[in-house]
Amino acid sequence: MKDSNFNKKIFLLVLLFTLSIFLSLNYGSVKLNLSELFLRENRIILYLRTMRILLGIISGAGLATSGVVLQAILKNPLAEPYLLGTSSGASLGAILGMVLGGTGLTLPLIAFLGAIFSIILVYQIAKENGHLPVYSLILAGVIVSIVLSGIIIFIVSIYADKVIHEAFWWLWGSLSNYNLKLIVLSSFIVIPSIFIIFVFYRDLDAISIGEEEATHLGIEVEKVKKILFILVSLITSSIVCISGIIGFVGLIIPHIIRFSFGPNHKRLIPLSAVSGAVFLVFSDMLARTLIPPLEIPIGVITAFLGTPVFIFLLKKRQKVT
Amino acid sequence: MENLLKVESIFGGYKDNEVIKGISFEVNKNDFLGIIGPNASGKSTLLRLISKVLAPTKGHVFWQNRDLSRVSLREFSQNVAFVAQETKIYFSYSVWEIVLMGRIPHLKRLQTETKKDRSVVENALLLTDTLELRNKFFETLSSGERQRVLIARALAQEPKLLILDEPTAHLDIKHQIHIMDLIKRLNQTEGLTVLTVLHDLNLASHYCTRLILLNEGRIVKQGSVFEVLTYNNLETVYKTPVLVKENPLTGKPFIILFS
Repeated sequence: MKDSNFNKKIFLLVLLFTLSIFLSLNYGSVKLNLSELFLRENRIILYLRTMRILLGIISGAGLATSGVVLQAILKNPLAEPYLLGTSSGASLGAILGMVLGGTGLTLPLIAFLGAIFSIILVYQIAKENGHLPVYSLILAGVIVSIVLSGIIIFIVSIYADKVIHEAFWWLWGSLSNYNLKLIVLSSFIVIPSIFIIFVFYRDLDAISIGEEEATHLGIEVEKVKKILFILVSLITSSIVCISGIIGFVGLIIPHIIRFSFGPNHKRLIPLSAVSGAVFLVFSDMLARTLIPPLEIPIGVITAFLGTPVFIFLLKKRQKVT
Repeated sequence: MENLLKVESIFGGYKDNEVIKGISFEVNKNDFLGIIGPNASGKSTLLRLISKVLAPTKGHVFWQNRDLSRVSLREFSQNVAFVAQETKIYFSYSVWEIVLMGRIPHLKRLQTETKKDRSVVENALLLTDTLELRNKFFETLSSGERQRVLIARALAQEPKLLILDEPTAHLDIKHQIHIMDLIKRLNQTEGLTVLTVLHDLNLASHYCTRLILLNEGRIVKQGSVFEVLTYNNLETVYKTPVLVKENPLTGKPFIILFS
């Protein structure tokens, strides 16, 4: 139909992907460009920048894919990966861990457990004779997030001196996690989950039109929904414990891709994953180079970068229809 | 007569609300069977119970002499297509994409659509007179066009039985006739068996070969339009006075409402 345009857009996306990696390697809080970076004495900087790029790719791809799935299933444009309570659950876990004196690897692990705990809580509240009604799920997610956030604020206000700096890291997200083992571990969860989600692209098309419609097309809706929720929960829980809560990617990337490529999930899933990765790698590059040596929280950058693009596409679309 | 669907004294509905209370009927090949009845008589629930959306609490449904609970949802959807009463679509799929979804029952996950799938979809668009709409977004269509596109998607499933829930709701008279003529044509030339819920008694009289009159979850009367659409049956069920006359053009019953 609009295939020549489609190829141009794909080419642009690949170009942006390469560019974001190049820029991220080339710029940083320390002034070192690509040619110097590969010198022996600068290996640590190269390692650190590569870690950040990897983390950006995994987090961006995972969050954007999760957003696609949740928006389709919940048929709600405001759905985003943290809707299931993972963000507040993970933060609460991490902050409790800090208060109790946990360090190093224990914090992300407690955060992961916290995320899983909050998801189970949300499912239990939303469940209704073996079904997961969409509205109950949204409400349960909101309620659990509010309660857990309340507990977080309570703990932070009591133990302010002890946790405020690190709590900030969790609540605003950052790609400054240089633990290779942890990054590899989470990519083993995130990347296969994205591939499994892709297998369900046709199911997602049908479910995004309506659950009863999908049933009439032979799809076991409740079963598929459960599988997809488990995958999304695993993805967001793993990401939140390696990079904290990075807002906006999971909400806005799926919309941007839908605006430019249509809602068909066969395209939407892979394109969102790649764009989410580009977006985060690029945002992180800006976060650490705009006011060096200070690092701006990446959530600030994603919000400032994403909003104008989003408004532009929304206005353009309003003109079309 | 080849029997497609057989319903044997089924009960069912929603939690704490049994809507259907013992209903039996059969759908035979090439039937054009209509279900009529007042609001809340259980028409839509009955359709859900026979299309595997809801499971009956008592009684049995048979698809081609096999218990429906043993027929997989996938196999069922390769044989039975459903056009819902109102479909709201939240995302901007094109007409082509919507109708292509009718091929889902015949495709494995990750399997790309073949030439055959495409030609089935094209044929479905052709039969429903929607081929020129193929590149339009579903949400920009009029109600009549949407209904035809959804019927096209149902045809893309290559069903033996087409179930429709009030296909003419929200349509003006021209489009009502257009849709009903289309369904009738599919029934007569494509050999499609049709089971449809209808609100408008005169449309039911004109198009259906057999009718089921439903009230409070039970069948009041089933049979030919002459047997079902009588003054007595309609007044007891709808609790409003009606006049049943013979349509001078078709000889079928014609219902006049007055107050």
